[in-house]
Amino acid sequence: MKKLIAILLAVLMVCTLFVGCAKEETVAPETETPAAESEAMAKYGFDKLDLVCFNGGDAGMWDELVALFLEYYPGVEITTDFSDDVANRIRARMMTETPPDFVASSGPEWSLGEAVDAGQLMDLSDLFENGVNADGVPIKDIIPEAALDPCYRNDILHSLPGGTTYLGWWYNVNMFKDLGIEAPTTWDELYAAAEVLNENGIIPFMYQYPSYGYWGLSMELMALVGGKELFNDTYVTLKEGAWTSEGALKAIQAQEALIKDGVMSPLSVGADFAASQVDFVNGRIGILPNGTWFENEMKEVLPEGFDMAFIPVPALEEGGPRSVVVTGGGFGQIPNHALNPEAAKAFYGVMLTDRGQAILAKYGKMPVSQTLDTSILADVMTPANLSALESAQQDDVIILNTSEGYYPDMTNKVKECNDNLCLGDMTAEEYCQAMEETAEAVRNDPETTILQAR
Amino acid sequence: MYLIFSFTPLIKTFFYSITDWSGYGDYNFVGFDNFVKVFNDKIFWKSLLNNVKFFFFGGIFVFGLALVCAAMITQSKLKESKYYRIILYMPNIISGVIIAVLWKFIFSPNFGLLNNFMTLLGLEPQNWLGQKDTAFTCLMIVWVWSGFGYYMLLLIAGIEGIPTTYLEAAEIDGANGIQRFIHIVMPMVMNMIRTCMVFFTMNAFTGIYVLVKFMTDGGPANTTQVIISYIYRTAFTNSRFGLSAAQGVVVCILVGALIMFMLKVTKPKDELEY
Repeated sequence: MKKLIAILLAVLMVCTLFVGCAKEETVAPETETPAAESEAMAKYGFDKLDLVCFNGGDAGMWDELVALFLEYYPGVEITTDFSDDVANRIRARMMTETPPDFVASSGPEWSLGEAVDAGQLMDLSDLFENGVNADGVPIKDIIPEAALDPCYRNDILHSLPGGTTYLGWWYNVNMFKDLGIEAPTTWDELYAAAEVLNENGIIPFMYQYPSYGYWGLSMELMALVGGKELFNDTYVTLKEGAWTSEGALKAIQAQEALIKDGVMSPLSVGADFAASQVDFVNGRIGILPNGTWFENEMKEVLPEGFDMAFIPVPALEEGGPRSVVVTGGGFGQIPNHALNPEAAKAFYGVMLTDRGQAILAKYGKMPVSQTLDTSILADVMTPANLSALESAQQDDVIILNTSEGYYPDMTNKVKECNDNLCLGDMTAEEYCQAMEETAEAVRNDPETTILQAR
Repeated sequence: MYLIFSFTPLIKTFFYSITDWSGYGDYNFVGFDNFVKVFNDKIFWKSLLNNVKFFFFGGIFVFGLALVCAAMITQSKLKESKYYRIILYMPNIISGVIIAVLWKFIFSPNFGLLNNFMTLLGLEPQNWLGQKDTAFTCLMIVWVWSGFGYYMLLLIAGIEGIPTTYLEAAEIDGANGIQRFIHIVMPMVMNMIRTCMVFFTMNAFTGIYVLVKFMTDGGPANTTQVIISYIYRTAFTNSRFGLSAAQGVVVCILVGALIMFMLKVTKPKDELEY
């Protein structure tokens, strides 16, 4: 009897493992009869759509897009998995050849490049050339070709840009007004602002540890010194000698000086990510790098009357360029083994309608559509994000197209070097030398595909 | 169950360690290339050294505290000793993630409890988790605090299993508390200590991962990187599952050898019979 009970318990334990695996919600069509499903199939050519998407600072966006999709395609059964840790679930489903139909992820564990190189993601060139949005407008009329740059990995168009998130510097508008500081457009103005902020016991600038150090400062500094060419040489194509060039050294010396001159706080090292952002909205930090999802991400904790605005990373010299980073670039991908690729393409088509673009804008994604009536943006975008859109479109702003990090080994090394630079354990020269050695190792690694600059 | 959840993944790890699998598509066999990379990887050995530090220095504090507390709880005549057991064991029942987040707030440079306390005393606040010379120590403190209770309970069980007649006889013969503890209690709980050392060794090389991941993520500049967080990064951030499998195999062999060495060295020459 005891043996039987033990066996039954063991079987029950194994069964509970499988029960606990699924974490998906299903948005059922209004009628669930077999007749409704076949009607959707007959009408649209698909009746199911499986979405797995990253839900971070843009929480709520995907639900609104799904609701809009169902307005265009009623009767389609949609399965959703929206959370901030979807990367490994997407990978696991790709490994077992049961991928979702549409994926959109972010974060260091989402290896978009490897997924493309492994042939897991569909080439969307045909969708771009011949597809239409849900209102019947050709997609190639909606998306400017230049916006496709971050969506290519060598010759494969792995994504379409539904919305763009800009990453730059945010400053506390009321704080600056009270202290009589102008938003800096040059390095000299930044230093002047930092002096006033320091006098008032406020941290002038710091970054959320560790990723925003390179997203919000290191990458942009390369562009400020040597334009997009130097950025591409150092971060994209890993050109030999790029990191030990005069330009790269000048960029890192500027970063080093920020710390030595008291503009950037060494508290950036090890700073809790969320705590840094809370410190910013609570007036302890003057400037913080972040993306256009920032306001939505912090909406639950924003103090009454808090106002922030976006600036590109200031120019190193008067008349020089400023810079912002476009993160993510492409907005969602379709796996090659997706069961319902047509449904996924239709979902893209909904995102690229004016209403879809308005939803994206509401959550901090800058609309990519060139046919969109931009007057609606003032109604759906917050003043903070409108400031981001306006800033990024200035003529002197270099826009760097980047995803999470082109090469993990390079990204990890930049983080390590930024830590050492911040703590005073490394000079700018040593930083550049270390990065050059890492770039060489990555170039010589047979498992790594070196990217082309676009 | 063991076959499905332990043995099969182990075999698959050995298999993947000789491939270049990225976790997404097909793989190619690369022989021992991954192992060559592991042996030439400075950060891998630095991470392993950090684990050795946790093992060695952490072991002194964990076992020291566990033994002292176990001795005091079992040897003292305090009525409240059972409550002390609960209080001292309590960190072990709290999730590692919660412990990490809680202590991260305590160590926070801007609004942490510790810095507030230091400011009250007129001392300079520190960036505890952001400085190389303090980050590791902070992790060690948290790890010892959260872990020693478990070993204390095991040692209490071992001590309470000793027949009281031996201790009474020693007391009658004039042995004081410390002498009884060193010459009677310690030899008799040596088997339990050996068991604790095995668990502790595994914990020092694997269990510390949660604290590192959520408190420092291996920073600053890989100072607190430990081997499991590095293997995780290699697999899930760098998408090098083959290489991370090779790292895991190397760690498995090294830790296994260490445990076997410890068991051999601590094996008593004569088995105690009572």
